[in-house]
Amino acid sequence: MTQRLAPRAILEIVTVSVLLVLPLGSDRLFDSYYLDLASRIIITWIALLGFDILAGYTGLVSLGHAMFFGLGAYGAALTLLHVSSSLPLALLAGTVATTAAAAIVGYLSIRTQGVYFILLTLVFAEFGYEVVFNGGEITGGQNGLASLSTTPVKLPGLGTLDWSDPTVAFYLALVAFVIAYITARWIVGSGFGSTLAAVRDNQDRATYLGYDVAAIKRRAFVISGTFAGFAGALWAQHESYVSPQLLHWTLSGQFIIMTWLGGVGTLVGPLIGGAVLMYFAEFLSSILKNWLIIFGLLYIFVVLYAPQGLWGIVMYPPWKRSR
Amino acid sequence: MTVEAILTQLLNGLTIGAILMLIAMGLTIIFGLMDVVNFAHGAMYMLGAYFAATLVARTGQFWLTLILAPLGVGILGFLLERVLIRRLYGRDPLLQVLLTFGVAVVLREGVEILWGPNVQTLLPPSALAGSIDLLGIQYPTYRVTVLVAAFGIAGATWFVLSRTNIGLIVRSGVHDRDMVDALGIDVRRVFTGVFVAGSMLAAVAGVLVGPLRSVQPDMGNDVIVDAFIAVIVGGLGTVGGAVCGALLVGIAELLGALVIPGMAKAAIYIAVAIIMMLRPAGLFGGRRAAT
Repeated sequence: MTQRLAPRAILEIVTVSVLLVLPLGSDRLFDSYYLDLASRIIITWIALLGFDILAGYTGLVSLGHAMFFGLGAYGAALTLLHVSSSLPLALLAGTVATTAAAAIVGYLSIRTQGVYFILLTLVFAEFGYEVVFNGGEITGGQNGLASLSTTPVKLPGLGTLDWSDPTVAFYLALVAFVIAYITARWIVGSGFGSTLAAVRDNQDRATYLGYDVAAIKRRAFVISGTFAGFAGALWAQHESYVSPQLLHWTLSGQFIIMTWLGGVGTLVGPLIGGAVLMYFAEFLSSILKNWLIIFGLLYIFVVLYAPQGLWGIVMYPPWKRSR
Repeated sequence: MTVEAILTQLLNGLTIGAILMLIAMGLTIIFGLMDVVNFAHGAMYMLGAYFAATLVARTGQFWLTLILAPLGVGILGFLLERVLIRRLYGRDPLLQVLLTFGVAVVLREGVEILWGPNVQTLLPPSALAGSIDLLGIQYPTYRVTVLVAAFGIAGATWFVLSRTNIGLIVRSGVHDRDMVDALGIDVRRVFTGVFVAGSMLAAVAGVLVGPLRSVQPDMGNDVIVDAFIAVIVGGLGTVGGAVCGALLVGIAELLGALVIPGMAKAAIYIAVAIIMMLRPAGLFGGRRAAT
């Protein structure tokens, strides 16, 4: 077991170390644009962690996850516009609103199973998309809400934290991600995490053993939605702009692609998938407008030949696998 | 709001519903028979429209195109089933979702690469320009033709399914495909046939809708959710249900637009969510509930 854990620990340490010093290279080693991209990837990672807890660890694949991401973003945006320009408050409001929504949607969705669950979460998400898209002045409709601004926070003796500064925004995302990652690891490693796996592997067995399967699924759904909402709220502040596209089902689909590309049910896999997809999206989009086709092909390949994803290939190389 | 306005909107809803019906029929049989939740089905519809736009632009023959474009999509559906979908039969249905999802992405992007991101125009046959008097209102001739054609094709499909030996095999397969296999029928060939036929139905819908709505790369993504909703409302795996579901969704969408502008779709989604929770087998009773 320790041998298996080693590559992950190495990856975790290297990734966080590199990210910690990344802003130092901005404008020196690389264009500051890439620091921005890194922030976006890190924020997306938080949503992917939550998605993997639901899809990978509980076996519930939602096709409506973008709704929670979008809700968090709109929750934060509306707070910034109408209530207060305090970032912590906006993040809290966006996250809490999403948790509440996830509780309702989760309560209703987990009554169905398999493809019905996938389709029902899709229907709920489309509902959310339509409401935001046609929300008139409140949601800004098709155009979304722009120029969201936050007040810098004064830290006594340490100066001020201006959230709109790219470096500050980057570290905010990084700190948020590390907290989210530790939380996610803790959840999947806990007794509750084991019951999630029990439900995923054999729902009937879990029921016979006396577990309240519905309650466990609900909890996983709410946790997962909360991660997405928090990520969405961070996204809103980072971009200082939100649009209905954040709730569109194709974004939910991208979460699925990122997760399976990297390796579902591993927590680190989806992060690899997300980073690869988002980085190459930027890189490839400069050469090929329809870069997504390469990912579509890669994705089909992964589904057919490497269902454990890229991380699965690292952990259990097919050429070393005995048949 | 005049009676004429409501009637026009009702007919518009019926037209959209009829298009959706052709898509939903294939979607529901493919699910019923093979357990495949086919997210690539919208791409077949899109390809039908693109093939048609190019063929009509080159040849000017709309009716010939209505046959040729679905044939082309049928060949593609054949390859898709034989090369990709086939590998995952009997596995976790989720893998099918993931695979067809990837296929949908590839086809959508592929179309944009080949045809460009701009809207393609697909002209209706000039003979069908103008409008005719229908139930006291002036209604575009082309839309009436679409209605007639869609219902004609749906009727023919229904006839094949309910009155022929092939239909008997398909229906038995939906009920219990292992039994059909045990009776000496090569169920895999039936799967291929149904996948091809379903793809062609979606392509016909694409050709017919071309002159009504814009032919653009996202049309498949836009329609697939509505098609799934039609199928869910009717009950996954039932053709009759898909027909009723599609017409219901089409009409509800356009009449809803009159009553609650902008929020019609949102209202439909809520209604569908309620139906799914109260009657997972759909309004008209699907093959089975909650699997």
